[in-house]
Amino acid sequence: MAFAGSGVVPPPASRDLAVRFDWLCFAATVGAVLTVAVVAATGLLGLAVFGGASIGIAASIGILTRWLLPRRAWTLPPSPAEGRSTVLVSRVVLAAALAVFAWKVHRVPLWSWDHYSVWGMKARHLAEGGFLNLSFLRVAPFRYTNPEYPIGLPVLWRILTLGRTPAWPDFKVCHVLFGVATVGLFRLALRAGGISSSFANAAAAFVAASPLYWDTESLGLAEMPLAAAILAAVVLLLRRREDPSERPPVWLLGFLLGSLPGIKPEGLSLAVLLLAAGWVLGRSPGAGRRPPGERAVLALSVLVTAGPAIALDRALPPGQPFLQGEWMLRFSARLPHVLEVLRKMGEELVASDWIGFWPVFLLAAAYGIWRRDRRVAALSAVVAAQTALYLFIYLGTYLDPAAHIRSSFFRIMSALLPLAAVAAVLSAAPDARDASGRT
Amino acid sequence: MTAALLVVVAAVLVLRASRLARPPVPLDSRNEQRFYAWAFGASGLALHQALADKELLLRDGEVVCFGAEPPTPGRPEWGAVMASYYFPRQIVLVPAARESAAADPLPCRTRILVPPDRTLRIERRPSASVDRRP
Repeated sequence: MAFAGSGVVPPPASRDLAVRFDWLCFAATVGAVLTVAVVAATGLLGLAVFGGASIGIAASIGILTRWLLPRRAWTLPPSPAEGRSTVLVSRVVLAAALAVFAWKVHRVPLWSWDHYSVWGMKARHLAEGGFLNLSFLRVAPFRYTNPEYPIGLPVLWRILTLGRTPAWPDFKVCHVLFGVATVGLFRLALRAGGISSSFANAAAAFVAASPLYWDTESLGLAEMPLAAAILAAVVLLLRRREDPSERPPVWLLGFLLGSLPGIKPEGLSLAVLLLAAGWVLGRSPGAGRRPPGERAVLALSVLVTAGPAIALDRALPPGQPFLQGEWMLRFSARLPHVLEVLRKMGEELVASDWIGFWPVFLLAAAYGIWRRDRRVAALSAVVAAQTALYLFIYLGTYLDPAAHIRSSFFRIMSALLPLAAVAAVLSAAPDARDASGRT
Repeated sequence: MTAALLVVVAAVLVLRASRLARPPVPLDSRNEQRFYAWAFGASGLALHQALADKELLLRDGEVVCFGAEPPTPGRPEWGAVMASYYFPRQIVLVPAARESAAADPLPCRTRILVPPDRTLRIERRPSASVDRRP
């Protein structure tokens, strides 16, 4: 996967091992997104895509992009000066956090109900002799297991097992790899925003100790891959702003954003919100002049990737959407009790598992906004708007809102934590591009 | 700020690693406490392992009826989902669909039984002979 992405994201100029590691995580995530899109599209045309063919597709993407695209070395802003021992200790703590995560994943069984009924089930059924086959979704009991959910992650699992039916160890290894990639991308996003190495390592270690990693309900589900893909898009958003002379291609940003609905249904709203955040960041005083036609390329690349994913979701048998039936009546009836619903959501966010994160995020976002830091304001707004969307769904859901919040809110917010943590940490660093910012 | 964050994370990691080092596995996070027993604990690792093992003994395309006794009482969908998960290359007929299965052209000659001791057993009926009398 890293080879597939290495043509789009050329290797870094820096010889620093940490930078090279983070680049590897970035290239692998981009490569995975590109390969899944091509494999799924080719598979829907009725061609054999799994097994050796999927490796051939990944290799072809790597070779073609290396041949076609300009290969300018990847650069990062220089890290603020700091003691070597501080950096070393922070790296040790980060490595320990990842080791504890991998250890727990190794020891626990794959237990989440949604793995068996949705994500893992699709991965084990969607290939037949190398061909992509979705006809099983029309047969009981699959009709009752969210057949309309996107197939990006199940296709990726099937690619990584070379077409073999994935089993427990495959899902676990993939979860750990995405966990490592998320941390690398998180660190890369912070480094692109001018954060020091040691602080980026410490914050990454915190993310690796968060419920996204420690709570094994997400093992075998799509939360971790979604978090990784969001961060890959955020790295590009920040780099495009911080580095006007060496902007990464805008189509890649559009492609990554468009891939989010192919991972999880809420990826659609996140893609739209991140697109809006990119627009706000692009209008900063220091963001430099944008090339003509850039917005058109961005919109087109989002459409090219998100469009087929959305169309496929519509073509799959309908599941049980939370806003089915008379949702507006339910919404109106529950609106007077919105404070009660908010209290339930708040209770989830002050649980000790978060190690105090969400209150700190609120304070950091308020401080960043007061300082007129557009990066913090834009990324915090994405988190806030996505949370507001969840509130909207809890008010209109056909389920009991309290039970729905209890069963999902903690998990889906864990996927937003890395993005919120980028915003919180950036609030601690001055925004070099925003001359109007307070310090 | 970096030092304070590192100390907090290191303390959390030491605590978690010390719990991971001794059995049983700590399933103490919020949703682990809430849903582990509901989703997995009642069936148990042994039953999942037995299901995974049985996949190797079934033929591709074999029609399988899953257990007369649901492995987790009160959760009829459990058997349907788990059988479909663990037997992706077979056609699984589940208890809820048994009535329609009676009229199904696919003969259900293979049954996976779940006795009370949770050791799965495969039963195969021989093919019924065709009665050609007028």
